Amino acid sequence: MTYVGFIAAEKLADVVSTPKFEVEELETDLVVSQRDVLAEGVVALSLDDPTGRPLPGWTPGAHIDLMLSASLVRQYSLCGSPADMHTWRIGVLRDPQSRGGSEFVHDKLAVGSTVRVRGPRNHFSLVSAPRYQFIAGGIGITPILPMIEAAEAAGARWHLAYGGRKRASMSFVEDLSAYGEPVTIWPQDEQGLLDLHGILRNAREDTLVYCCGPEALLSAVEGACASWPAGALHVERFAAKPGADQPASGALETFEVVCQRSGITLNVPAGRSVFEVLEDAGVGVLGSCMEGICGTCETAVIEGTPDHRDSVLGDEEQARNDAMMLCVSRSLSDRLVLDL
Amino acid sequence: MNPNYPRDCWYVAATSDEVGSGLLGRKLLDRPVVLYRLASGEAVALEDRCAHRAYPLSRGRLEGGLLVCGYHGLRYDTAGACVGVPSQPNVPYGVCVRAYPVREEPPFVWVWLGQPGRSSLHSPPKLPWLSGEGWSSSGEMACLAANYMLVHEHYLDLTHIPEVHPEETPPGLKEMPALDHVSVSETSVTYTRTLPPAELADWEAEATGLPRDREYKRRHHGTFISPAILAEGWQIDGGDGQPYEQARIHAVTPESPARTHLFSWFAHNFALDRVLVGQRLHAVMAKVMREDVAVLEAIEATAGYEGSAAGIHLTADAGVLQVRRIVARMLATETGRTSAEAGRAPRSAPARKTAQSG
Repeated sequence: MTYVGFIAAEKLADVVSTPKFEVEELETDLVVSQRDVLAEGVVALSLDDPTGRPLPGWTPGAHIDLMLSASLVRQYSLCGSPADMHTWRIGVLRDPQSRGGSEFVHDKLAVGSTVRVRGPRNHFSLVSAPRYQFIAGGIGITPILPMIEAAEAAGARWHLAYGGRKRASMSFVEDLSAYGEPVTIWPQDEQGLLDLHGILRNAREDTLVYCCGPEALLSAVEGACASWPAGALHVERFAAKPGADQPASGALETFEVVCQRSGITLNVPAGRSVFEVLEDAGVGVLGSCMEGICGTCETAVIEGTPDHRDSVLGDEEQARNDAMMLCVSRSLSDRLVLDL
Repeated sequence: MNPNYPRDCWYVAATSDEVGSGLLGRKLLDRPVVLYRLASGEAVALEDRCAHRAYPLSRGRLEGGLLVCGYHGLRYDTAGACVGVPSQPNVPYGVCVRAYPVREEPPFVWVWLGQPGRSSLHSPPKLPWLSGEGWSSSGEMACLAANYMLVHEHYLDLTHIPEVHPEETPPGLKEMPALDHVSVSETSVTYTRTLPPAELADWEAEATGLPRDREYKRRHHGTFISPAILAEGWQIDGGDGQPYEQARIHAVTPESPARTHLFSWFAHNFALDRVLVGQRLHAVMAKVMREDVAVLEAIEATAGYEGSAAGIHLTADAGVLQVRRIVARMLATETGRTSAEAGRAPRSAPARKTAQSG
């Protein structure tokens, strides 16, 4: 009899002993069911459960980890439709400067290959709004695609400014052009850099800005949105923000962390992260990238002032001091009380 | 309290059996909804409130595929548009009641009460235990006086079993072990636990036909699939290489902040040719459900969901806490807030603001 169930619910026979209690992100093996070349240097992979079970739901802006080897874990945005319960789709740019992730995906993953996947998680959620300004640079278009589908479905007004080096290197141009007026395709070799000033000149109360792309674009958009209402700009980074990891003035080398729910107090010494200290003490925490970019280890702060060194929280969110990323952020106060 | 349920989600409105040629009126997520079935077999869900004097349309009648209000006879089509008023020749322009997207996957009729366009971005979850080959299933419904999150949190923490359901607990099992693994994604939480070997409870012995003179390993797993659905699986290792599997599917549909429609469906994959086994399992699960409802209504009456959620946390709450994060994020995204508060009990935006400043 075939077993039907949801992913991660193993058969009894697979369990040899009672494992140690853990809270982890969902991890599962998926199979590449389709591989398409989308543009110069860009492939799209479709990933399915090998036994055809439905995959967990996700919302626009979500990404997954591909666990290509023990030391090679890379994040890719889901670019298919959230309504598709059986396939996750990612777009991957071959980056010669990369640390091996995109090369592996391009060279080693073919139809039929099995790949270990973790997630999805989402730190780029599409918040409900009447109007959206989407800004994508190059492969940063991937999380924006399901956002456009959602904005269309909800009847929201939207505009996409999509820049890239040249037209041939830009994925999904044909599909996007079909939308007509709300889409501006902006190849750099034809038109120069995106006219961010023109796009973002007038701050609007009714509009949320979603931007994904290379660091230079993100920094420029952050600058251009300085006069926009707090919380209007949402960005997604795949590398740590330059300088984000630098300590703020007054950062303490050592401090105390109190886990309020567990009733545990721990000392964080110099050279060790809050995450490492908590994990060693057996406090259940989730973590993934350990670079302050994926948002998995976000934890509510009840008391104390964190020294934020992550690239996930916006300036306004950091200033609220009610949440922190345990993997990189430290403390400005002697004592941090966490909701753990 | 303010509603703490996401609206952009497919919820079970009724069972397929309930939606027939008559009119079924039901309050779902604070909205009055009338459900009925066309001659073609297609199920329809409309706002259960006439656009004229707010009389419930479910008290009217169906006439040739049109829904006729039982007060002044206004006629509505399946899209909710008013197409006839007996007392005047012209039809008022643009008069309609809301029509809600419906999907049917027996045994359930699902309805979308959120932003209408967003329904196409989501699908009701597949529940193969209730429709797939190799399983036999039946279910019970209740409308209980408790917030829907109390229901989820009850089934997410089954360490209550020996206290609440002593007769159904395997003999010798003094306490239910906490979860041994919790696995989280953006929208789902899956958890597993392994039980120490124990003898069979009466109902397990009768259902499986396994010999009673031995101890058996059991495994429990569950998945919070959405705010509308929690699926649980129980496996008894019969020692013959064949796991005896049971699935309990809880479809949880808020009626209002303090009332919930609960559709608990129960499936098993063994002794499919023995009708009495199915009947026995159904009777046990119906009893268990009554006991669960009594507990949940007592908590709601004492403290409400917010009071309950403010209680202390135990190791067994690992799944509960992850689900609260997911629901809080869903609510924040829907209400247009920029970030959810990690690990806090889900409340609607205004309530959260009050709690923050207090």
